Amino acid sequence: MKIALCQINPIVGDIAGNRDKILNIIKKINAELYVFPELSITGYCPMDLILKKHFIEKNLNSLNIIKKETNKKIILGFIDSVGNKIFNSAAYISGNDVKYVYHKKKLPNYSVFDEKRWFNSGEKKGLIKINDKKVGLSICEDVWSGEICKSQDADIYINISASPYSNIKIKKIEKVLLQRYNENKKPIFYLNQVGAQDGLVYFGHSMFINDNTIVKKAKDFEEDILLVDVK
Amino acid sequence: MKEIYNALILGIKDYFEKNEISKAVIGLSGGLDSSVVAYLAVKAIGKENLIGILMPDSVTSKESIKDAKKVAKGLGIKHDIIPIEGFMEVFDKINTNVELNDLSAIANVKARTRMIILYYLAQINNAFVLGTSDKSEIALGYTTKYGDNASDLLVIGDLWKTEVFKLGKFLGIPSSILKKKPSAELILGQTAEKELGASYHVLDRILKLYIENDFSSKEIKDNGFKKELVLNVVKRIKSNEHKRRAPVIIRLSERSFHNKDWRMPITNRF
Repeated sequence: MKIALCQINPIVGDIAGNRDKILNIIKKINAELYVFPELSITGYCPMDLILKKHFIEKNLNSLNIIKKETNKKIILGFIDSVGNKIFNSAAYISGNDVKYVYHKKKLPNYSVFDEKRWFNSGEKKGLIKINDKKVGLSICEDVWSGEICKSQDADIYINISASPYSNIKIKKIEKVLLQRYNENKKPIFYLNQVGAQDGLVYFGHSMFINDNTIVKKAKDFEEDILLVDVK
Repeated sequence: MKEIYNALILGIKDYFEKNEISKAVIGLSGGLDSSVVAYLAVKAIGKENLIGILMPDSVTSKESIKDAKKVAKGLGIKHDIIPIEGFMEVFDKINTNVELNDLSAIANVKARTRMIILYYLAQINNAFVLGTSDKSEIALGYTTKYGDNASDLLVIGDLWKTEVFKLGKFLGIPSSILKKKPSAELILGQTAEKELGASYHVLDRILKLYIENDFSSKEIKDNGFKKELVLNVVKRIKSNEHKRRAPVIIRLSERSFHNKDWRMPITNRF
């Protein structure tokens, strides 16, 4: 299975622009599964825009347009709304349909993060089947501790992130992901957003981890696409 | 240093591009901070988009003017010299009472006058004003409120002065700038380290322990620093909190612009 980790630089609030960027990459690059970052439809982080109903609706409309426009397999970040609850989510799209929606469990609420202000914590397992593989989905903070990957018991793990830079962050995430590999002994696909938003700089550095090592890395601080063929 | 450099370039580039502004105005003093920011800005937005402004007055040294010109010419940016003495005469007329003569009040007027010139030029050029304060200055409140601390983007606001120095070396800024003692040059003979009571090498270590490690004054002192200096630094940090904030709003409704209540992104295409 050829997986494209699409390390894009979305613009916060530019829902149509981000959607078109996603669709253009899917048209241009040949892969079986396309992965886009956390909240890639809205850009991270839309902050109090999330409180607006019409903002959530527009993001859901864009998700619908993407699913109608292409029959490819896609995993991407968006904002889901269930009843009166809002979730930081990942959709798995296949055959013009949203097959599964994962809700982020671990909501960071320290340092520059404020996610509990806007989101509810998810309860779904995040396990999907693509071809014959069990894929464990997670969003950013979910992967920083071991229990979510462990509970999924997957064949491969995919984490979509929007992780901002600090002078210790790159080494730290490498260490965390290698630790996850060590615990589960299964390939990990880590995709991080790139680009700056109001002084927070998302650094990219998406990675494919297997055999206890970082096999492939995307560029730092630049848009990039990491193509990985996994058997 | 390369990693931090790349983060800064993307931070500048995206702030301009995503907010649809291509030009920037910067005040060039011939000192370390403004030189470093000018070098970074040229890399991020291009030399054709940066306008450097020198705003000397009677206490500005010849070396500062020479160094500021060196930076502008070396980078190949458009630059201009606008002396501010004429502006200052207005304030001499407002205050004729010699007993009320306060050197720091005059010094702050100079910094604010420079801000007015930069924002005027920014508006007519559809440009952002680049701020040049570093993390040490912001921590200590060693800035003028609505003066040099007024800007659209604080490029090196998360780098301690000693780190800015290393970045300056990395960027290859002229050695005459790297060698000189930091000075706001608002008062004759003023140097930052004399005024703040220690070298930036020492100050940055104290500031880091207080700000990044949340140490108490006693814990900092126990790390080998003079008690009086530690207390003075901590007092400065606390009493200058207001300079790091937008003016406080008294909240009366359920949805105010109080900074805890309204958290909207600045870059916002929605």
